[in-house]
Formats: sequence, structure tokens, C-alpha cells
Amino acid sequence: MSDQPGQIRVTPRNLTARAAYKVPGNPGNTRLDGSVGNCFPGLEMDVRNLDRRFFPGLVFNAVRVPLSPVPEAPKNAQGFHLVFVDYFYDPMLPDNSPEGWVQTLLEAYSGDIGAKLSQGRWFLSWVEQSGKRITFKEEDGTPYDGLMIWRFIRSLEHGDDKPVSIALERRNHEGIVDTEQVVLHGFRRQYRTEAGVFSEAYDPGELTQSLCNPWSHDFRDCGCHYWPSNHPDVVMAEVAHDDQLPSGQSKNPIEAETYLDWLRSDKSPSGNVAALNTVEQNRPYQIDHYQVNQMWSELPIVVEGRETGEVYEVDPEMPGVEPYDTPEDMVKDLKTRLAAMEMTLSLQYLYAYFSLADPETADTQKWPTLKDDLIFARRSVLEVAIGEMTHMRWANQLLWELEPDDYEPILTPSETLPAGRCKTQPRALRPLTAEALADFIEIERPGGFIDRAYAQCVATLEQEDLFPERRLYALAVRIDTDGDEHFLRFSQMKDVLAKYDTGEDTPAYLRPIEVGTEAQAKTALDLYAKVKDGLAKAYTLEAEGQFEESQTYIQQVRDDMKLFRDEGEALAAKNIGIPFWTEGKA
Amino acid sequence: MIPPAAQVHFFDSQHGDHMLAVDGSRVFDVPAGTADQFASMDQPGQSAFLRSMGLDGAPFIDDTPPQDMPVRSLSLAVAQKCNLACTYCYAAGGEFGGPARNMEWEVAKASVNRLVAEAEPGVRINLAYLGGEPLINRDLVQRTTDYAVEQAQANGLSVGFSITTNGTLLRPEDAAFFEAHGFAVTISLDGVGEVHDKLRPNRGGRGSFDTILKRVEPLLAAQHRMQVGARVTVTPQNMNLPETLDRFVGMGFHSIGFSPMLASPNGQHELDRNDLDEMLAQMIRCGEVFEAAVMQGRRYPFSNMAAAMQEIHRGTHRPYACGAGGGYFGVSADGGLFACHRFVEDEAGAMGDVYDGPDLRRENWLADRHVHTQSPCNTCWARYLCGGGCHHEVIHRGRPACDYIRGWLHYCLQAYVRLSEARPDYFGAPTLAASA
Repeated sequence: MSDQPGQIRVTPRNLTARAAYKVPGNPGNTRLDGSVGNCFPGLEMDVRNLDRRFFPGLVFNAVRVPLSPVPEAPKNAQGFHLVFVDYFYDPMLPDNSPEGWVQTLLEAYSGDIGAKLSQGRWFLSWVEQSGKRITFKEEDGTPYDGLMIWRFIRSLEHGDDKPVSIALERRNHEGIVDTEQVVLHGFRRQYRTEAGVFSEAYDPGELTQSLCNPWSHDFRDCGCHYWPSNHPDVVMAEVAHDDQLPSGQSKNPIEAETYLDWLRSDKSPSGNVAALNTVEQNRPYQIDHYQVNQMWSELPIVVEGRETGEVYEVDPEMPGVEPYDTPEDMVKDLKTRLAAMEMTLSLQYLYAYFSLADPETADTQKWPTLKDDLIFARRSVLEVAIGEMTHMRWANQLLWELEPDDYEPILTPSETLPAGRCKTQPRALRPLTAEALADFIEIERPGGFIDRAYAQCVATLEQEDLFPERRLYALAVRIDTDGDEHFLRFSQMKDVLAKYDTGEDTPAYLRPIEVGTEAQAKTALDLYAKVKDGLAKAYTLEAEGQFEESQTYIQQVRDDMKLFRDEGEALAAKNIGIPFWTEGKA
Repeated sequence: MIPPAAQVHFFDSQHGDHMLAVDGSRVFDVPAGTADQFASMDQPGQSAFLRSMGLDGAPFIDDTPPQDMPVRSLSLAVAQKCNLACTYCYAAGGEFGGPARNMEWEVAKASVNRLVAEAEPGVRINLAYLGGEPLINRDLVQRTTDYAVEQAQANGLSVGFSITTNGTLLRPEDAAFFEAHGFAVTISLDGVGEVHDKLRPNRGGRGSFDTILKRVEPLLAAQHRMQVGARVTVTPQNMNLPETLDRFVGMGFHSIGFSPMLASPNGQHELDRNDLDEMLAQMIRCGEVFEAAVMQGRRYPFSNMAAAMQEIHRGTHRPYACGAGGGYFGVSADGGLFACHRFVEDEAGAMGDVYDGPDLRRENWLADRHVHTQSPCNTCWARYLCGGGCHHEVIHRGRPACDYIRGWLHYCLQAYVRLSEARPDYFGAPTLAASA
């Protein structure tokens, strides 16, 4: 041997040597069970690599139909392509095996068959097991795509009583089969032992071939959407904690609550503009492929939906929010004010929703953007209305969890709503005018009345000595944090709709809607009554733990809500608003 | 740069060729002829060879001395005087060259407080009583021990005790006390009968062996939590190690260890080169007896060998020979803090007092004593197993025993391979799994 040493085989003996010895290949504790084994390229391994060696002595690749075929390329390149014959170290094919099929295969591979398979392009033509043969061709002779064949290969079973026969065909440059098939008989490989150890047929590193390279391009675009589904699309900007007003509100609530594109390439304050509605619209402003390799480490950590700087600070407690004196006080407040108010809000928002014009009949000549903006506004108001309905349900759930025996569904809208500190205003059915929108924003403002009321519930339920069960606390937190979204939606709507409010007549986005009479809206009101009745039954059953029975009513309520929406639209088209209550006509 | 040749040491056994990778004290089996192949390479070739085995990573030990080590162990020179007049004593009759005196309670108490102050709950602290002859100040030993137990309990610590005594003043009631507190008792015995007596006479010149034996027997009999060991200082006068070892094993000592006499204050009885060769031969004979016993599954308490086997198995690699000046200090009778018990009253190892803890001299000490700064240690293959040798001996006499130490470690590496093949269970591995 020369001065240049080759790889010599050393065996570690004592503990430090064993601990420091780098074993080639996958670590001994690698188990398929412990991996994110999706079959695009997965994260720990690509499961397709197992099936490449499904038949002893052969290694295949699953080849797909090319996306952009080159005219001069060989035809019919797709399929289960035989890459090479690899029988020397195949643990299924020991030289000294007494098994007839093993010796037959070894003879074939080392003899004429092996020589034949080394000439030209060979593909899997069919497989047969338990009397079933699958030929990998369309009726017109077009070979199947490799991934489709792979799925069939996955369905093969292993075992001594499950022989497998396969046929290989050779395709010439034109994709035509140009010689006799090679038929081989054997068994499907057992990919891993009962204990989960992979077959020794696989070389170190083989199972991880074709894996993606997270942390770089995958944060930008990942074909299997694994990484994109594991990072936020939109986030809220980092807000310094001292940027808060004494009331707990942010100095600039819009900025603090605006959704930004997490992948935006301009990370300076000037880049903090609201993310657009679609991926395509945002794409030009995002970090590009060539940038992500350098910028991925600048992608900020996101906690609770908000980008954080170097130090994460827990959102400070809302100032002045104290727990209720007693749990009974909280229950009373939930019953008499909060649940009922959620009901009122959802109805007011529904009324406003029906007041929005039909995007399909919008005057796009005069207002080119009106159709899109109406789609956005309608969707947003409806989402908030549904959000309030969800809150109403959660408020009810708090009640039945806190007082399961005395629970009665709260499905009556409150007559007043809070307006500023210690003041109230009467409930009102109003179209979505600028004035109404301003009131909606005010009531949903972070740190406003509703937010504070739920913060008080959270503070109360947080007391572990009184409420050892964390479920209720979690529920209250969910309602509390959900409100921020409503504020944001209405604020965005205000920006979007302001331009249509010319000060003359009804703004172009509104219908000239008036609260109708009970007779006019009879069908809608009947449906509304049915919905309330169904919800009352469903909540009562759920409070008793009868979830399946409750589901029947929930389903019925959902069906009625759909009808109700259709009826509401029909009335709105006639400029009739639904009179959920009779007083306070705007 | 450390030359590649100083990064490995090759040795063989009946199981083939082996290699110690100095960094991390890793032991490998290598193909036959690897040592010759390595020797025939030029330096870049040797470096490439090491790289090919993955021995080029971040080193296990760098040049940085440990920082801010808490004090974990203190030895108290409770009596700086002795009733014996050993010819070679490093403490020069127990007095360390100063006036004879006893440690005061305040100093002992402050020592315990120092340990407690530097320990987080759950930590084990250690107190060693030395001298001179510590049992001259028996009351203080007992009082300090009781105080340490009380303080340890109050602070959630565990505490270990040890005492090194010449054994002449032992009383039957000491056995009960040491047993109750799980003492590690080390008796200095330099041989059997006359051999011992010549080296360790009392101040009147009379031998001490028989007296000691009579006094040690109750301790040996009472051993349960307590462990009684014998420590033999090897001089040209007591070079019959296998017999001594066998005799002491038979007497029931929990461990028996030998150390060469390398530096005495008056140069008496120091071993010269030929003596060290002779000692190595005898140590290896003792080691072979140990190997035979372990092969048969018997315990054989030859502590030099037992410690070497465990350290090699674990790959112990240390930049210092011991904890002196790091986590361990010697406390003089008046509360001075020294690098270890041997440095008491020696300015070369002085580093503060128990009241204020170690001072800046400790940092200098740790920087100076790091094996990477020692020559020729920094190019010696045994550097991380040896650590550079006893600081006290090195500072006062240099390193006369390097060949002896390398010879001993070479033998121990071979013995390790033999024992790990034959009795993996001795190293804590189940026999079957280890041979699979």
C-alpha cells in the first residue's frame, strides 16, 4: 500500500471510541414508523425507494410522463424503468441457497438474461400475484406513468406463499417493444423486519435519495406543499409593547392588526403593507428563489400569529382587567349580557350583509372595482356574522359547562349594546353605511368592551384553584382572541368601501333597503324561529352530553340557515330587510 | 501543532493489533500491520491516515483551563505533626517544615462552610482528613464530621469522608465511627513486617507494623459502608510487590495501591531509573495476578489496575493528573488553601484561604499546569491518561518516571483488550451481547 491510506476497517472498542465512531448510513434508530413518510419526497425517507427493489436482484425507477417532452427524446420513457441488475449482495439471493427459484434467478442474472437486460431500455410490463395479472398499459398501448405503476407495486404482498411473477419489456427509441419479454419468478422483498429494521438490500443513504432540502427553496416553493403547509402565509407585524396606549389598545391598531405576507421580500417598515388576496397577487413581492438561500434566516419567528423579534414577550395583561368577584357573577354576566349581545351582533351583521348589493349586478361601467370589492365585503361581513354565531355558541357552552344542571339556552338578542365606557346604545338594524361600519369597528376594537369582557372571563377561569379544569379557560381564550379578526375585517372593509360613499344618494355598494313588515318577511322569520328552536334543542342535548342526538338538530339548523340565506337574498333584492326585532328602525 | 505520531499509540495483544487514539483516549482494533504502515508514512500521509479514521474532528481537550470550578473536595491537615518518622515523608515528619500544630475548630468549620457555600443542592462534597497523622487530633475529626453531616443535610448535599492514617493510633471505637459515616480509610503500609518497620519507624526508631496490624483488624472486620485500603509507597527497600499485594489482599483490605517514591524532601529512598524498571516488572506481575483473578470472576483489589481498567474502558482523558487546584484543595492547620495536601505550607501551591476561597493564583495554576503546556508531555501519547504526573513531584523533582508510566499504561491497554474480550461483564456489559 502506498503512503496514501485507503479506507481501513477499525473496530471501536472502549466507550469513547464507540461513542465517537461515525457509522456510515442511517442511524440505527431510524424507523419508518417515526418518520413523516409522505410519498412525495418525504422528510426522513422517500418510501418509493423501498419499492425500487421490490423484486430480488432488480432495481427500478418510477419514471413519470415528461412535462415538457423534447421531440428527439426516446418515446414512452415513462413506467417502471429497470435501472440495473444488482444480485451480488442481494440478501434474498445467497449463492448457497437451496431454493430452486433463487438458483434459477441467479443463473438468469449471471447468464444470458443478465446480458440481455444490460442492452437497451427495459421496463416492467406486468406483474402477477395470486392469479391476478396487471399489465401496465392503457388499452391503446400507451405505458402507464411510473407513479401509477408504483401504486400497483405497493399493493403486492410479501411472504413465502405469495409468489410474484414479472415480465420485462424492452422499448426502442420509438417506444416500441422490440424483443421478447423476459419473465422472472420470485417473491416480493420484505422491506423490513418485524422489528422495523430495513432490509440490508438497501445501501446506506439509498432510502433518503430524492429527499427535499428543507430550509432553502422549500420555504419558497415545495412541490409537495409540506413546508408551505408548515409555515404561515400571512402574519401580523411585530409591535413593540411600549407602543400601546394606556387603554391597552395599540397606537396604530390598523398597522398592528394588518396581515402581512410572511414571505415578503421587503422586510423594512415600508414593506409592511397588507397582503393581497391571492397567492398570484402576492408572488411578485415575495422572496424569490435566488433570494431565499440567503434570506431564509431572516424569515421571522411567528408566535401567536405575530412576528417576533429577538425576544418574545408575552402579551401583557390588559390593564385594569380583574377577574369577576365570584364565578356566579361571571355566569350572570354571560347570561344577561355577553351571550345575548353576541346574538344581537350576529343579527345586526346579517342585516348589514343583506344590505350589500349583488356583485353580479354591480355598475362596473362607473365603478370598475365594485364587483370585486362587493365580493370581498359580502364575504367578510358574513364571516364576521358567522363568527358571532360561533361566539354565541361558545358563550352558551361556557354556561352549560359551568352550570350543567341549571342551563337554559340563551338565544334571545339583547336590547342594547355597549357604546364606549359604561354607556349603551340601543340595538339597531342598519344597512352597512359608513356610520354603521364605524360603530361595528368600535365595538370590535381590541381592548374595547367585548374584548375586555372576555378578558375578564379569561382572568376568572385562569384561576386554577377555582377552575382546575383547563378546558373552559381554553374556550374563553379562544373567544377572546377571535375578536381581533373581526376588528380587522371591518377596518379593511371601511378602507375598501369608503370610495363609493360620495355623500349623495345611497352609496353604490348598498341596496336602498328598509326594515320590512313581519308579513313581508314571514318565510324568513319562520325560518329564523326554526333555527332558534333547533339551536335551543341542540344546546340542551349537548349540555346533557347527548352529542349524537344534538347533531341531528345542528344539521337541521344548518339546512334551515341555507334556506334562510336564500330567502334573505330574495327579500333584499326587493329592498326588504328582515325585521329581527321591530323597534329601532334606522 | 502536535505531530500525528503523538496522536496515536499502537499496541498488540493475542487478539491482534490495536490503537489508542490519544484524543479522547479511544481504543480501536486495527488490521495487522497498521502500526508499521503508519510508521512508514510521512507526516502528511499520517495526517491523512488519521483523517480517514475520523480522528481529525474537534479535539476532546482544548487549551482552555477550566473556569470558575466550585470547590468540591478539601483535605484538612488536622494535625501537622506525626508520631512516626518516615524516612521519605513529603511532609517532613508531618510538620511540612514548620512548627508542629493542630488545626483549630474554627478552621475546620470554615472549611466545611466553604464546601457548602460552593455547592448546589444534590451535589456531593468530600472531606479528607490528613496530616501529619490526623488521629492525633481525633476530636476535631469527629466534631468536623458531625458538623459536615448536619450542614449537608440542611443544604440538601451528600458528603463523603476519607482519612489517611498511619494506623498506629487507631482505636476500636474509631471503627464504629468510620463505619457509621462510610469513611474511606487509607492505611499507609509499606510492606510486611520488617520491611515496613524499616521505612516507617516511630520516633524512637521502633517498628510499627505489628502495632498497626492489631489496630487495623477491627476496622477490616467492621467494613460494610466503610472501605479500608492500604497504600504502599514503593522505595528500593520494599520492592517485593506481588508478595506484599497478596498478603494484604489476604488480610481483607478493600483495595491496595502502590505508588513510587519519586520526591522526598531529603532525597532519601527516591527510586532511580533501574529501580523504576524493576518496579514496572513487579507491577506487571501484580497485574497478571489481577487478570487471572478477573478471568475467573474473582475480585482482586489491586487498585492501580482496577482504576486503570475502568479509566481505559471509559476513555478517561484528562488535561491534569488530578483535581489539585481545580475542585480539590488542601487546607493547612491555620486555614491556608493549597493546591493539595502535599503542597500544604508550600508557597508553590498556595492559593488563598478557606475564608475567602481560592484567589487568582488558582487561575494561574490551572493555566500553568495544563498538560498542553508541559513539555515533553504535549507530545507524549500517554498525556491524557497520565495528565502530566503529580504536580508536587514534577515541581520538586521533574519527571523521572515517564518511561515507567508509559510502560505501565502500555501493559494496561493490552490487559484491557484481553479482559474486555474474556470478561466483558467485568466492564458492565452482558457477556452475550458484548461478544455478539
